[in-house]
Amino acid sequence: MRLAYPHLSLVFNVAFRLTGNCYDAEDLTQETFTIAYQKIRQLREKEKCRAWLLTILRNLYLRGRSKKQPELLEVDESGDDYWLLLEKYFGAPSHDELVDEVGLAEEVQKLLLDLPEKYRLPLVLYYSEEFSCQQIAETIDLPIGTVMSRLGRGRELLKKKMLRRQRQAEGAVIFPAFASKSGKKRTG
Amino acid sequence: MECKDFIHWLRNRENRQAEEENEALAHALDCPDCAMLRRVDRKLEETIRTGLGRVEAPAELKSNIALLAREKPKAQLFQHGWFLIPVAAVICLALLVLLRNPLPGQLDSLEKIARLSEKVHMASVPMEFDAREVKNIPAWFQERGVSALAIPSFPGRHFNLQGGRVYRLGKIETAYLLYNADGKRYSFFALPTEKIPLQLVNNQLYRYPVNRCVIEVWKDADRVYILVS
Repeated sequence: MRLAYPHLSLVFNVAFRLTGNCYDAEDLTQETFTIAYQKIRQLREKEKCRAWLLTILRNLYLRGRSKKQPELLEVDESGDDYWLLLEKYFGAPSHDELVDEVGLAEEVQKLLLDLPEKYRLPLVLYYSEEFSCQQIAETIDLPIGTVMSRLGRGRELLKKKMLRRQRQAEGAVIFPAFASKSGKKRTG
Repeated sequence: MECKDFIHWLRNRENRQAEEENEALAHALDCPDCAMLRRVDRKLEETIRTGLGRVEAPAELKSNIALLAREKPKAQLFQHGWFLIPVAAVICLALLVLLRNPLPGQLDSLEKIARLSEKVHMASVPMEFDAREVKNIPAWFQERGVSALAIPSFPGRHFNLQGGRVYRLGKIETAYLLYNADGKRYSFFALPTEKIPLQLVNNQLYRYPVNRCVIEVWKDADRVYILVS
């Protein structure tokens, strides 16, 4: 009990980021702790309590999700590389309009939900809980290389979605404050 | 460093080498396009961090979980393997006893009837009434909840009734009469047929010797009689 309770905020936060709403997150957290309390004796290494709780949470989430809707398989509509997209959008900067960055930040959660869970969990732990790659690897029991590749891939997918969303917004330009007026040719 | 190397450096966030950083920053100073890409990427990065900021658990949820934790010891009691061991042992023991003696206290075999009645006979239990005091013996038993007893005749035997009482054979209440003949004691039990889960042939005498006694059992319509001599 003393082991698990301090991780309540983490569990709820991850649940919220995975489900995208407060109600499901509360249910998921409650269910996670109910199972954790029932099976606390199975936890051999106390220092792994956090990882153990997140494993329970993740399993419950995946089980619940598979009942509601199948996991996303197609994650990228265009196949464009994020950096190419970035270049494309910023290739001829000429706009001066301000961008609603607050609005985009609010969109991040929705865009995150469009990513497969295998990218979502590392992203949430990295950005929301400020875990290192090593900590994420230990928490979700994956090799660090896999975590790094999922984190990198998930990050680029999310940023691409952010760029497209911003592009779609009427008259909006991405971060015009950073737009270069330089006409210098790119090297390489 | 060229632009493609710079983008590779940007992309390879998790594996950046310290020495590459100076080259990359030098390139960015020289190349406004790359500098812009870096700045926009950093801005997106900050936006993600802001958008995915930590959400605090509602107070109600916290108190619910705390409550859940307080209930834990009760729930956990049943999780322990050791708790189940004695329970399982008791169940096994009860099953064994039941298997060996499926209906304890029930007169479900002639052998059991014989042993129990012999035990009562040998115990010389005191009588509740004297034969000289009670005229209507069946009525005496009926008043005490033992259904009407028809005392059989014992042809060829000169039994003198000494007394009687209600007595339990196993779990079944019987009318118990004590007789005397030629200086010997005889115990006689009468009980309703439906109390004995045995198929006895009407008016057939079953005889069992137990220790130094002989137990005779017979059925007469709705009564079963036991005589111990």
